[in-house]
Amino acid sequence: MRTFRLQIGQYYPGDTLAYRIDPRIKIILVFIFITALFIIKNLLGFGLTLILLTAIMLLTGIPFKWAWITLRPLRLIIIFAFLMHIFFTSSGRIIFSLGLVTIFDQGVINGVVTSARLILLVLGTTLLTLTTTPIELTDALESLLSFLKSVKVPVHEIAMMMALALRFIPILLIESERIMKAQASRGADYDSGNPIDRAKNFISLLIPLLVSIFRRADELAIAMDARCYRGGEKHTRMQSLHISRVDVSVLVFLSSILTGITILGRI
Amino acid sequence: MFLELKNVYFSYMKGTKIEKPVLKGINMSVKEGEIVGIVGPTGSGKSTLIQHLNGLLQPDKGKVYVKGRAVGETIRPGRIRKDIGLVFQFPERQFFEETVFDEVAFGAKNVGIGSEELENRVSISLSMVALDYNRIKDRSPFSLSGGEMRRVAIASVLAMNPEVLILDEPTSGLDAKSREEIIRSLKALREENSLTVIWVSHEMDEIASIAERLIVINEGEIALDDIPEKVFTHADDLKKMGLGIPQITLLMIELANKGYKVPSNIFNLEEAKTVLLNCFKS
Repeated sequence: MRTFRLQIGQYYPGDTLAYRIDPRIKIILVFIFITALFIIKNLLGFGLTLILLTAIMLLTGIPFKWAWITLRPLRLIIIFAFLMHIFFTSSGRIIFSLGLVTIFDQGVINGVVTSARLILLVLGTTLLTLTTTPIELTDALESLLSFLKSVKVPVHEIAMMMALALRFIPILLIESERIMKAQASRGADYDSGNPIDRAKNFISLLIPLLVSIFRRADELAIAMDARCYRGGEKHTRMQSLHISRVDVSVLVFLSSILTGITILGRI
Repeated sequence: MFLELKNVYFSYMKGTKIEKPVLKGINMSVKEGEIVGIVGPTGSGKSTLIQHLNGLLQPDKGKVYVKGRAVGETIRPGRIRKDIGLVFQFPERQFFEETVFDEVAFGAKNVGIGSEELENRVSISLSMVALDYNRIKDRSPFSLSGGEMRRVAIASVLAMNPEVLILDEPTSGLDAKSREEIIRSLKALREENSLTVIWVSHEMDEIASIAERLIVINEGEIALDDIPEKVFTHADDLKKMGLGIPQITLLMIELANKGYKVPSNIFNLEEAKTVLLNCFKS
């Protein structure tokens, strides 16, 4: 039985520079990073990006193992994308041919580029979530999106819902583990058996989990009402965000490096 | 020895800097037919400990033996769950079937009880927890009262016909009447079926009247392991751990200290009444 698996988007407690940077700066940087990843198309560019990420990872003080663990659930998608490109691209030089299967060199290149993009994408965004608490993230998003308030988008409510959803992920994980164990104690087997039995067993996990989610949602709504929660209007914050000189230098420094890598990555 | 833990260590989040050691060298054993109470303050490792007893968790170090066989070595952890029935805390939160019958039958079906025997098993299990089979079997488990739900959940583990019944805080969150009913049916159950029972609680008043032996756990270690009378002589140690001793026992000890001739192994009101009346008569 698994106990506590690291999930995508989990926070890793720490106190290095990467943790102290304003979360809004971090989100903007991740945005620039993602854009760069989709412009870069040669291996030099990806290599340099990987070096940059490794350097940042070293500075955060988070063990590499953790970054690796976050990649694990995505390995199927990455392998699938790689194989799709290899088998279904039909341009460039033929490098392998057997019966119906013909592999072109362009296919291999495309496959490598796509997998590299996916891996770097996950690693880069993981750096954000590992060093930023969900609360900081949603506060930052609310602040970055606040210009939408002028067109009557309920930004605060959306941020609140996001914060709650994120907050409940670990709780629901613990809850589902508990239910799994309780059902395993009644002889349910989630790890083996034929697909039909497994699906049936899955129901014994899903229904109690749904019941629990609704119960929690109800309780939370009542608790919020009891504390006179009214949404965004006149709402003050416990911790307001401030952009410091360090934040600005980090933003300028990293975005220029990323721009440089992007230019090299297009040649 | 029926159940035995030898030098068991266990940590959550092992290998990270948020690693949390929960069990630190637990040695304990349970004899067949015994009724053992496991007490400890919140976070002492009680729930983690009992999950080792039916193979849900396996020790980082040390071994768990069931009837002399080492779990995970000579016997698969999944195999012992049939013999060692574990009722989780708030077990009604695992309900998912449409009728009480199906809910109770779930465990029995999983361990391979055929449809001919199933009805018999379910009705026996429900009567074991003092519920009327015909009245309750077609109702939705979600429509029952708190106490009834709890008893259905216990019946669903009993339907697997375990040799050991482990209950994690079986009365928590229930009203006084349902509490009493559960305790009464579990007592009866044990007398009639020679089941080995492990009862986890932090309610001293409750557990003292049930258990023949108390194991006190504090911060992942066994602090005391003795018959209740002996355990309650360590009233000060228990207090430091955030545990009490039964109110009525406390009264008896105070009276004995003041020179009254009363025994200190009194755990319930009835006995106390008799003893006190005798004491004041003489």
